[in-house]
Amino acid sequence: MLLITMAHRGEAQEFIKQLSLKPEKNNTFIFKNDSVMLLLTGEGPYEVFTKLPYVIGKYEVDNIINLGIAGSLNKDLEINKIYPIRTSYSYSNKPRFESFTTKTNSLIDCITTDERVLSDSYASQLKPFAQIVDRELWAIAKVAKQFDVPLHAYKLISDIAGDTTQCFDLKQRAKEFSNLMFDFYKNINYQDHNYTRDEEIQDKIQLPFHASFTQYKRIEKLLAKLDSNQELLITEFSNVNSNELNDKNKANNFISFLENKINPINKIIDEHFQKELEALKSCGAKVIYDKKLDSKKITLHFEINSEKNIEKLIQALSKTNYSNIQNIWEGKINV
Amino acid sequence: MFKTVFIEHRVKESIHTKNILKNIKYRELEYIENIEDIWGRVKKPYLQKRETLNLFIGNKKGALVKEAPMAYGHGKEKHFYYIHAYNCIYECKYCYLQGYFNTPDLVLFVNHENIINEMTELVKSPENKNAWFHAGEYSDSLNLSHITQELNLYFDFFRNHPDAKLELRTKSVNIKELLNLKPSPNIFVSFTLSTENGAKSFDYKCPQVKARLNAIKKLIDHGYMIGIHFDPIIYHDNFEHEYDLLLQELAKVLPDDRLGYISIGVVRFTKDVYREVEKNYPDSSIHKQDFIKSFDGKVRYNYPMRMWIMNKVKESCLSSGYSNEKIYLCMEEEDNLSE
Repeated sequence: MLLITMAHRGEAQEFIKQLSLKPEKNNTFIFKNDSVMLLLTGEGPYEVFTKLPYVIGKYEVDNIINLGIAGSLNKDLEINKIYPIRTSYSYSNKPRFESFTTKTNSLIDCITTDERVLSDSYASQLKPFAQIVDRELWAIAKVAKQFDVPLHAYKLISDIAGDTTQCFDLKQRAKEFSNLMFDFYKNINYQDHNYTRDEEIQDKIQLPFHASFTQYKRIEKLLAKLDSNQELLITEFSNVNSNELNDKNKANNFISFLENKINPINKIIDEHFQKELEALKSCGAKVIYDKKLDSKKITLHFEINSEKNIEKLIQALSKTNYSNIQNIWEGKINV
Repeated sequence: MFKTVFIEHRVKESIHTKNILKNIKYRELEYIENIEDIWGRVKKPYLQKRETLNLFIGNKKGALVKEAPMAYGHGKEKHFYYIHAYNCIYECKYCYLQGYFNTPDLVLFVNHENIINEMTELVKSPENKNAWFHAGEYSDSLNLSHITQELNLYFDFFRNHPDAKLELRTKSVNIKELLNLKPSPNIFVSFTLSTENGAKSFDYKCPQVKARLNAIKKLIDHGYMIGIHFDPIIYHDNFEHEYDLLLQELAKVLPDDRLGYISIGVVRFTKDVYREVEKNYPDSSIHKQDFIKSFDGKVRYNYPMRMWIMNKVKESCLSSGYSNEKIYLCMEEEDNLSE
């Protein structure tokens, strides 16, 4: 369901009328029809934090559109014109670091304050950060991000923020603003803004064998790194892979196959390591080294219960040439 | 064109500020108390530099010249970098600046005389007499030099201190200012180079490699010493061959006797920068690389792979006739090597 958020009923009056929105029982700030919900947030970020999480938690909200009046901090903006907002910032005695950016081509940013801007000196503190000032957007964006709901925001410039704001009476012009915003809303190409969450649009990869959750996630990640067609890769792998293996091994082989496609050098490095450690493995020692090849440490586990074991280990160690291992580590290998 | 130029009141009358303003286009001009009151105070998305880039002009406060970390430069001398600017007009997709300052807005510092005074104090100490001073740690050192016009001040300092050395790091071909100045054997112009395909894929908005090679040629003809940085190298299927070709082209314009040094390094990111790269360039082939999250939290190739890549490029440099002692590998993980 689409959620429209506006601060005051006066701004929203045309939406309620034209969209035939009915108030929710026991919640005078929520209005609904079958496809659209309107939330009257009230004025200021704290009002937003009180109401918006409740609405998102209770109803299935797919997208949020914030519409509202705002003050201009920039002489180039036109009064009574509606601007899409790119990034929302916040100012509460000082600028807040966190910002939120919507998907839009607009170059207009908005800064949200927790009190009205009634002087030019206050406006001048805000001006370096944005061209528009409002009272709610940053809080709406913060909640929307928290709940991973796509947000779009449009601000109608009602006046110049600063000394002249004091002379301005919203109630007198509420109907006019509401009409302007509703006309604008009707022309928003909603489909263009109707983003689906990433996880919902991903196709599941069809593998010809069963893979565990961990294997599947790894395969998904590796396939994303390759430009090649996924089906062709699976076919290529099936042609070289033995059918006699069980699913677990097939999945592991497919992971190695993809890793090798992405980085053939790693496989060669690994083969060199295996070769140099062969003597130790053959004598029954368990040789552990960092598979990520991030740490040089090699650990041996070897059970000793006779003199013979010790001799075998000494022989294996004497056949192991550490400088060869060092050379591999230093990348001195033929590829 | 800049959206807004913010100027600190204290530098309003500076000749450097006036020079900058004379040479740029901007929509608005604002006077402010301190750059730090505004710049970087809010998280401004990096890619907004494409449409709404602001410029800040002011004085650098605090340390003006900083000692560089180990393995920063060539040789055994001490290395320092001086800070004349923050951020860059280029948009290299691997650039750490995307995750470093939290804003792409440019800062140009104009208290060059203070920076030079600090250098003067430093070189008085015998251990710093032969020190290197690098420009371009937080910004390209040349791409705005026709606007900032401060290079002559630094050149004077290094002419008067012939044991100290200056490195101007760049990807720019904006060498007009340099060609108007008299070179000095202790002033090195160093170019970051990558293969033609590498530059096309990752050095967004930077001059083409061919243009950088042309600039090197012009500077050599003018009498400059040149440094080369093959850093960051990003692996791809044909990378050895492409670096061979690049070195062949480089050798045509840069003889060994005019080469100061070559540094070789492999792409790496802090995790914050890598997250920014993912956000800013989600479709870049940089994400198709086989990186690991390393012991120190950095995102990079595994150790043997890094060494193999650097060795390959070093071999290409040697085959092209460059002296072994002029080539150094950027080893930022010395600790990992310790036994």
